[in-house]
Amino acid sequence: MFQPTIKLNRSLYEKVKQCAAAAGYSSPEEFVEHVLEREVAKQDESVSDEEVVKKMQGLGYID
Amino acid sequence: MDSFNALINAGLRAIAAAFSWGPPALSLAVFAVLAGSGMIWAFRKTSDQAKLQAVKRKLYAYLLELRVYSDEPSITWRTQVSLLRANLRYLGLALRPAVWIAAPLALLMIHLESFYSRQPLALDSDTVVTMRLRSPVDGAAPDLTLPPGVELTAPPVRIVSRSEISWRIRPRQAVSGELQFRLGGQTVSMPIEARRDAHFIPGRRVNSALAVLWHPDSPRVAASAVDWIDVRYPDSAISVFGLEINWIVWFLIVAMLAGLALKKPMKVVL
Amino acid sequence: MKWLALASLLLLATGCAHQTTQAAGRRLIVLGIDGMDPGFLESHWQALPNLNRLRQQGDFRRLATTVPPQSPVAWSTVATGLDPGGHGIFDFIHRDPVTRQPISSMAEATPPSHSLHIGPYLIPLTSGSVQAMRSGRTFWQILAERRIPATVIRIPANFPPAECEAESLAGMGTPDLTGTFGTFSFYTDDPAEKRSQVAGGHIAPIHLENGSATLQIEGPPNSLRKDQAQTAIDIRMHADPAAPVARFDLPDEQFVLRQGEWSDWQRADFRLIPGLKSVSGIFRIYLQQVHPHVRVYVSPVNIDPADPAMPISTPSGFSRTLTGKLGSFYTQGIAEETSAFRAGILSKDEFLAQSRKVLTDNLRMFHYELGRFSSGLLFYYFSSIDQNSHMLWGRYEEDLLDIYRQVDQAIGDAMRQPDTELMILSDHGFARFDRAVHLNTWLMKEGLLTLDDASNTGDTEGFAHVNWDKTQAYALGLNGIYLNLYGRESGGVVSLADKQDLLDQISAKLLEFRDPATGEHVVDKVYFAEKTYQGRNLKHAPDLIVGFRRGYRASWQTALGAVPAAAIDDNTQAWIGDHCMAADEVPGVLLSNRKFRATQPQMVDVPATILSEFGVPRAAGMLGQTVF
Ligand SMILES: [Zn+2]
Repeated sequence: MFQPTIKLNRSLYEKVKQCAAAAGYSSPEEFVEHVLEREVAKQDESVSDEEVVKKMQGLGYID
Repeated sequence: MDSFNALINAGLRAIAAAFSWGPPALSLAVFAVLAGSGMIWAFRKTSDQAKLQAVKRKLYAYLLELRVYSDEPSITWRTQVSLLRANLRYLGLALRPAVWIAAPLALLMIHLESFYSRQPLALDSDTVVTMRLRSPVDGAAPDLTLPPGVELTAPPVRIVSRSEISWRIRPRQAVSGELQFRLGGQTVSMPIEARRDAHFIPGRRVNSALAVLWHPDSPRVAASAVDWIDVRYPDSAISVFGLEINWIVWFLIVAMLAGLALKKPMKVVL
Repeated sequence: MKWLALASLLLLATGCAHQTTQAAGRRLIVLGIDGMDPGFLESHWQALPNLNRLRQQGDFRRLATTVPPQSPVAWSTVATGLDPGGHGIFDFIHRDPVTRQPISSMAEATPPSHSLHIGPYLIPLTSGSVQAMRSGRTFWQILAERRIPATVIRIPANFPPAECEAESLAGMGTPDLTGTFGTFSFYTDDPAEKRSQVAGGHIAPIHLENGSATLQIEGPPNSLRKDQAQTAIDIRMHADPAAPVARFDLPDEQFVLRQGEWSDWQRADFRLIPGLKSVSGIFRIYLQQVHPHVRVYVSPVNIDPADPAMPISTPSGFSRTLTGKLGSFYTQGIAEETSAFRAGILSKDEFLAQSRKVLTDNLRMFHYELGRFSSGLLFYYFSSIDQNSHMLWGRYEEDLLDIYRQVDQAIGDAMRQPDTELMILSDHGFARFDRAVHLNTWLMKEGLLTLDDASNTGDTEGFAHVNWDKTQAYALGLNGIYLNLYGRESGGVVSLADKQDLLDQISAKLLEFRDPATGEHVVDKVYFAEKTYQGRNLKHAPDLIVGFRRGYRASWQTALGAVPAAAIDDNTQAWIGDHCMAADEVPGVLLSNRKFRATQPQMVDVPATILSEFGVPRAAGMLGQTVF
């Protein structure tokens, strides 16, 4: 039941720690998780462009 | 079996007819009251009333104990165990009458289905009649003769994968008649109802002696090639105080109320 | 002096009361007839006796349409009395300024923000919602506030319906149950059919065993599951070995269809959590062919009006009440099956038969509403003329006239209502759509749009190969050109200071743009958003709106951001008529049983007139004047 870990270089980690503290996150992990979640969600959205087209094709004006 | 079913059917039809001046909810309530009182009577006859009384007294005693000694865990625990045991004992005592009651009740309800679960066919709208054969469908579909006022609106569909043949029919006027199928030199009939006031609408007509237990409204199909014949009727609901409910719900509610009401006067321990 | 104050108060009160009763007793019927063309009427008055009588006894004018003349734009103006800068709908298709990708202009679904995970299920704790994109208050909301009874059936761009006490049913913009604007399904065992996806539909191969096959009908993605797995129901189809007839077995229903027959509405429950939660949909099945190959068309699964999964009416129980009176009906915004016709799956006659079914559904509801209309406002919308004109205009005049005739009859029924004021309007007219203009390709040829590699032209949508560093303008939607503006588009290159010069330059070039095949002008008029629109949504407008000449329209590829090789192609689709052109080229119509004072009425005047007829002042920002 180990969580996967991701390595960061020291200087980036220090920056992350500062940002996390400044933004009020309880830990650098929480901050990183949040940022990554947001990015992944964006990726999902761009995949769904095709969905948007499919959704609108029924209008008849486009194909 | 056919004549037994016919006998029950005739009895039920007589009762339904006697109350046909009222809404279906009324005659169904009559059946439910009869069933409820029958159940109470059967319960008294088939259960050990004395033992039941004893177990019930014990149950009350344990419940009281729980209340009184609620702050003494050791007693409470013991009482809980006794309570569970008494409950099981009670269920055991109720099992015998339940078995006795189940069979006739099921029989009655299967019969009542034809009175309350189906609506007659609507005029000018299509429905499907299906015949299931006991052998594969090959060659032409059986000949179907329709009563006057009923039209065939599509050619028969022969469904090879299920050994079925379906016809689409449409009543043009009120009809209380029979569909006549001719296959292999034999004639099989199936009743059909397209009257607004129809009370009794027979369901699937079957061949097998086992299946007729579930579909008791019409005599068994005599033609050996046919497994069953079915007309798709619209589902019906019972209208009670403006509410549309499933007939079984209304039946069980009234039967239960009748049973509870008769418990005291008939001196039955439940 | 107390008595004076009291007396004047009393006077005021009786005055008010008098006004309300007068307003409440008034009867106004407004019929919105999408795409009814003034020129077509003028050449067919004799075939349309009721419209003819109406123009003779009352009045008939051309009604200036909106820029651009697209239905969601024009009807939003009718609903709110605002121009597109105010109501915020500029096209069927908008774009996300950051990604430059197309989005629907009519509604947006927001997923729930909090949810609970149980096994594969994701149980929403806050409900997701659909938001209409249109701003502004609608005339029926304003009437309802004054307690003036109003019923508004199927006005476009009203999904989800604007919150109010008036009775309203959503129209164009209402999705099917899968969330698209209509996706049909087509099932066949014909090996020659190789497609699986066409615009507005999908094609599924089926395999017959002893004449029986399973058709899987897709419902909505299961929003309660983490993987959003598609819900579906199975239909068993059994074909007769020789006769052109088949039986269909649904979970709770069974029916027989002959070849060429349509089923009634069928209802199906798509299960989200077995036994607990399901979504109800309705659809129709068309048995096109049985032998030698089975061909079955299944309509898009419509939201069930008896148990709507998304809001489609106000009050929310209104659609259910209608179902109780009328049975099921199309709830999908644009229900005419133009997609299957265009894909060659339905023939012209089959398309006409289907669109007659839509009109029949609609007329049945219209007569029900007419029958119970007592006072106040009844607004009723008809889609048939628009959708049929798209497929028939200029080529199948008799077929189109047939649709006009049926609408004319409905108008006759409305004219028979006693003591009723009647207004009939359309949002735009029609023209041929012969030549499809690839605006992005034209921009490229003018040096305003650059591809990553010049050879990468083609039908790929979403500006897949555009090099944004070297692109100043791009076209998207049916009439819009946007600048690649610094600070608005991400990585935009055009500075605010250069904006006006660039717009002037593009506009001048567009007006010079000639069709290489004929030498004719392609563009009639170019509209600058900032000079054409006003209101708080101006910032979302395309920077230029291209007013094509009759016969020309933005190509199918342009609408979604593709860059084909040629600047203009023939329109080879079955969709042969259109109206997304210069506003002056395709005016709508306005008719009434009263005389108009206005000589050049326009869309914004319609809500102003409605409110004025009930003595209700216009809301702040509403632009029009009464036409009487
Ligand atoms: Zn249109």
